[in-house]
Amino acid sequence: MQKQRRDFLKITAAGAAGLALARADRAFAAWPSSGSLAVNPTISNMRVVACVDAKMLKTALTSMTFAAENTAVDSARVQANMDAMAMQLANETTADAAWKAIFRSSKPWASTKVAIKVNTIEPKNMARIAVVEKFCKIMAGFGVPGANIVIYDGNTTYGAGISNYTSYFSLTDTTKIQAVVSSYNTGMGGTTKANIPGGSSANCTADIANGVTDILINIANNKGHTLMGKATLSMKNHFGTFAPNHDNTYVFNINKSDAILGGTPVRQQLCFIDSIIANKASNTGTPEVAPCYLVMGVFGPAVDYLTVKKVREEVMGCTHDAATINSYMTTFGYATTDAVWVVVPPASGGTNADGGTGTGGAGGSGSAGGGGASGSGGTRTGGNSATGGAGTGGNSGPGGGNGGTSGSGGARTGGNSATGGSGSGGQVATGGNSATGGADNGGQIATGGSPGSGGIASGGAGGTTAGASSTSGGSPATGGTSARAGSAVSASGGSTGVAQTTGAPSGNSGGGCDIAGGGRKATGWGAMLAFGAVVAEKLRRLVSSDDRSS
Amino acid sequence: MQGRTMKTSLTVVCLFWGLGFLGCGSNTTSSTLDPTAFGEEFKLSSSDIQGWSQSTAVMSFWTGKGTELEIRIDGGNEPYVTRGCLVAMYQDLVGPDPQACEVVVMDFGTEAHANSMFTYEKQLRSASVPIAQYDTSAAIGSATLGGVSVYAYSKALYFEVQLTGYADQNAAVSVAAQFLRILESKAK
Repeated sequence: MQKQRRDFLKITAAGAAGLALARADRAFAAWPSSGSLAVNPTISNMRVVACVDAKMLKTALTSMTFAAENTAVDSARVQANMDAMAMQLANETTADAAWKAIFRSSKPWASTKVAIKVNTIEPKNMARIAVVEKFCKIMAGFGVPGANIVIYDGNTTYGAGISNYTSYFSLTDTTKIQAVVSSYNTGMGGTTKANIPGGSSANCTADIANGVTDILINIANNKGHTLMGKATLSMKNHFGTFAPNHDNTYVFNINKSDAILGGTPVRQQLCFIDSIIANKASNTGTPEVAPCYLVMGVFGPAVDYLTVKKVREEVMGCTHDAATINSYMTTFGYATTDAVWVVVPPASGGTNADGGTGTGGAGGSGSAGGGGASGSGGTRTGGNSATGGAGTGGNSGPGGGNGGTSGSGGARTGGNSATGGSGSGGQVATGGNSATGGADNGGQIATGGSPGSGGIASGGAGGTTAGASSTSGGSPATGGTSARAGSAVSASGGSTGVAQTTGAPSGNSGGGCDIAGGGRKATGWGAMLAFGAVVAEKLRRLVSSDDRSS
Repeated sequence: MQGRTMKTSLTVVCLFWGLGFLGCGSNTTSSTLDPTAFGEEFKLSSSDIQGWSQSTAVMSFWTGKGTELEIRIDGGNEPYVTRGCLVAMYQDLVGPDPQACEVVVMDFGTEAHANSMFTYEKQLRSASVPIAQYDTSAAIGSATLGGVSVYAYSKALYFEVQLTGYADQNAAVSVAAQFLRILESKAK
């Protein structure tokens, strides 16, 4: 958070004149040679939001064709999660306001051009239709005509996989997604030379290079690679905007270029990792795992760095070239500790009960909380309903496993970063940003969640004392930071616990703290709102000092 | 006694057959390093394995020299190229719905190079799924979503068989072994 403040101060101090000077000194780079560039004036470059939700897959994957994967994906759930992520990223209370904070255009929406970069080299792991469709819907909602929204992968050698998308899109068939699928760069003005930092140039998608595209949305997938520290994510996804050249410096440079970060507002406004399924080892071949993560932020290097650390390493068990991975951040002048990882619970955690009658989540049964002696995090147990996680606590590291899924009493046990103190489990992170861990007791209140996404009020308080394995949840929902009048507060206790799979060394007893008032009635929404406001503010302060990635 | 002898003989035969996959030769096994001819040599048809045929999807069949692999697999080509891939064939097949298979055959010129590629993939993927009738030093599988990916080599040839569409991994492994045997038999 301090870094966020620093960013803000930097930006403010730089001012328009400073920015102009910095730009005059650049060598075909939108990214300045010193200092930084705020991709979005209201969203820190360092803020990265993630959502993990196993229910984004309706069925277990067997067939790995693009069509079969898309059939298995719960589109509504994915898109609701994306709304929740946007609200968290932009710190807005409605999805509409959030997306409008994220996506900006200097032109009227009706004449704004939007490009969506997907990666089609491995048809078994491409951006799922639900994700692409969501962005098309957002743009359509703003008033961007379908003809102005182009999905592309311009690599002339391996971009043939884009044809997998064509049957889902149409400008004339209203039952399909209203957008254009570009064959290679044909729908993007062709290919042209674009300057990149260092004085060289490379073939580039023309509409990106020439500034025709106003908004560039970068949708990458989570895959391994032999280069780039053994991962390929949003930065390398621009192979297909720029011609491939497997040199790490080249990858960084194209991501500093005018083509990508130029424009006013900055062209590339969102980097998104569809990590519902993922390749551990390679950028091609059959995906090995389904982490069920979505990750996004406004700044690709931070998104990539934290996806590597938090998903690929902690969840998927991959190993990487640490020096190269660190250089994702340091090449852009940031420290690896600057990046901020925020996990939001899945949407649809609770139903929208009438005001004041939302029920708390089913009682979590936090069990098997154990010390994180090995430093490994809790297992991702926790069930679909009413089962708290079996995470292990930890003194300082991100602890334990996750709890149950939405609407139930899932609790994340184990401490969150630097919390989850001695002798007890950590916290609950329902509906909101993150909770702080407890020092001698079980979890405590999370901050509020997002309206319509998992129940507004969240955060069952409490948990039990150290190491307990309890079946009773915490206090009733208390209303979250974003609670809105008339919205229901429901299922607070346990929208999905957040997977945290690494624990701290020498853990403690890691209490199986749990949350969620087991079947309790929540208070009336008005009372909850009031109470929630107070609690949320306190917690926000707590959280704000604690949400930096370690 | 007779039964035991037969059992022992069978074991020995199987062992030799499996180890045979390792081969003793060290030279290029394909008759030519021309990508087209190489593809024709190893391309699987519907008569090779019942119920399987080439996919009609784009890029379902591709051949090229090792130096052209980037076209097919982007930066993923690097391990193959550095280990000496000379020529390659990729083929996507579809089997009984929803089963699908991607077959890769490469000629590395020497057994040592092919072995190096196999060992690399085995370690990279922590592959540990045994393939019936093959020694794990010559063929090994790695679990994937909906199936298995098998890596193998024989003489200078290197193989990958990626099967998906299986709820039962054992069934996938069994089919992968079939694919391997057929590919091996196609080597001239």
